[in-house]
Amino acid sequence: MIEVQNLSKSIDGNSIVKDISFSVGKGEILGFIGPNGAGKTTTLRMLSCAVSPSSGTATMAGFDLVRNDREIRQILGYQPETPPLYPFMKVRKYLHFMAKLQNIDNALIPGAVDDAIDRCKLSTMVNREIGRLSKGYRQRVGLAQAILAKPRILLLDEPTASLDPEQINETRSIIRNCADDAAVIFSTHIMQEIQHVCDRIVLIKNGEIRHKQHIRTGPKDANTRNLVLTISAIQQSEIPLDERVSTVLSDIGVHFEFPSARNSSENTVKVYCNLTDADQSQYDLTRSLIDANLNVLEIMPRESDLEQTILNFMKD
Amino acid sequence: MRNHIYITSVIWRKELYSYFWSPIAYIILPVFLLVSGYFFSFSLFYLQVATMSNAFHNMAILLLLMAPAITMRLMAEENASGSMELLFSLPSPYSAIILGKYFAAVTVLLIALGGSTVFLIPLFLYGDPDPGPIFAGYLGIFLLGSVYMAVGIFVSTLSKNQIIAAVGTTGILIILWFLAYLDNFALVDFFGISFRYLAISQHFGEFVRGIIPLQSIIYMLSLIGLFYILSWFSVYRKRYMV
Repeated sequence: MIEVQNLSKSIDGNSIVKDISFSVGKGEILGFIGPNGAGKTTTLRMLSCAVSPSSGTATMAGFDLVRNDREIRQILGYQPETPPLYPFMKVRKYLHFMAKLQNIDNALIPGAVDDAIDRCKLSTMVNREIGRLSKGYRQRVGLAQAILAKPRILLLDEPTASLDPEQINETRSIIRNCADDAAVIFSTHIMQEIQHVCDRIVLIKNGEIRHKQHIRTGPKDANTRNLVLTISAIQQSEIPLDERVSTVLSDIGVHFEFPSARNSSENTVKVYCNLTDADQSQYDLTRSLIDANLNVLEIMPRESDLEQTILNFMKD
Repeated sequence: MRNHIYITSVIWRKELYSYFWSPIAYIILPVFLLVSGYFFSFSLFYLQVATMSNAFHNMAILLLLMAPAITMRLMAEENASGSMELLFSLPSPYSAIILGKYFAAVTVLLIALGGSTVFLIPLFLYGDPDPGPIFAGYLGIFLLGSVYMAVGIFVSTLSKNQIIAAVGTTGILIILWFLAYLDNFALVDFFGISFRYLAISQHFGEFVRGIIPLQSIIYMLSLIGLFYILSWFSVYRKRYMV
């Protein structure tokens, strides 16, 4: 859906973004992570048609970013870092106004506005002037305008900044729901956000991509938990340990993967598991492993793993 | 084209609403009417001149100061708040956005001029003025004010700071108004004639005398078109050339 090839941006001779390339598929959420000034916002501004790139190409839903920007703007939803809202407008009126500017058919505007209000849980605030809203609610109004036209491409610049924990949770659900039919790029510097929302991450520093990583190994779900298990064998067997672990996990239907760098001769094995609360629990997982004569030495949330990776790249 | 007109009307309504939500309209309109009303009364009751010509001249000078206050926020505010960035990501044409804002400013001008028609009541009560020059004068002041607004919106696109936008607009308007005075300093006749022709005060003077010269209408409409194109280019530059 989004294909970025060697995109660069220089302003007054300074390279802000240097030759970055990545892609995002339909239904995928790409986390764009990096320290302040890394070039995240500039990249999103380029992709949102707000500024033109200095070099490189990008296609979105088959449309070229430079040549077909009009077509791209028809299918794009964009929430800037600080949503620029008009303080004198009431929430509903603002969304109506934005819906008109987004070329939504007049007959469909009330439905689209109501839907965005419902999804962003703004129904108690619809008749309040934006200037009187809290920062968190303003952020939600910004998100509501971005999803008004059910965009096929959604670009979100730090959408959970200044939200309280409950609002963050709700915003994550909204973003995940939007990703069913869209390609989403989500910029943040909060690592927990990445773990909870994104399928893949692109780590950017000093305008360059430093690291790309898949996060999810299984299906997306609000309650997905990623764990790192360290397992040893209670009873030795001729079958290699990782093979025994694979058999057990496959039998109980848990999505898993082994770390890319591992030593099969070791007595312990590390495995990344992906659980959902609805049909799987940590208890069932450990029970099954123990029943297969395997010893679960440690269970850790995978966040710490990812966090460490990211921090290592940030330090470089 | 239909979309263009639609977006223009959407922006026009929003901007007009914002004028009356903020104190701008409530300060500018009464000040304009009170000050121009004072000069009109002075001319009518003290100087015993039962025409609108003095009032039109005073309005033109007053608008030199008022127009920047009306237009300064139109684009500068969008630049400062970052909403221009959001507007660029929408499928609305920039030209329609600028036009909607411009029409909103012109509407405020029309309301001010509409309010000034109350001056006609004592004028017709105490005198016997010729309606022709009054009509020409109103057309002239409307076109003049529309040029002022076009200059104002252009300067507003250049800055994030409303004060700078206002001061810049006033500067350009003063140059346009007093250009005719450079005639005295021109060493070559051609320049003297050019300065006089380009001075907006010269063209406006024709309207106040009760004439509706086609060349002055074309001149004013050309200035409006020129500053509209410059505004468009300034916005376009931000998107493509920064």
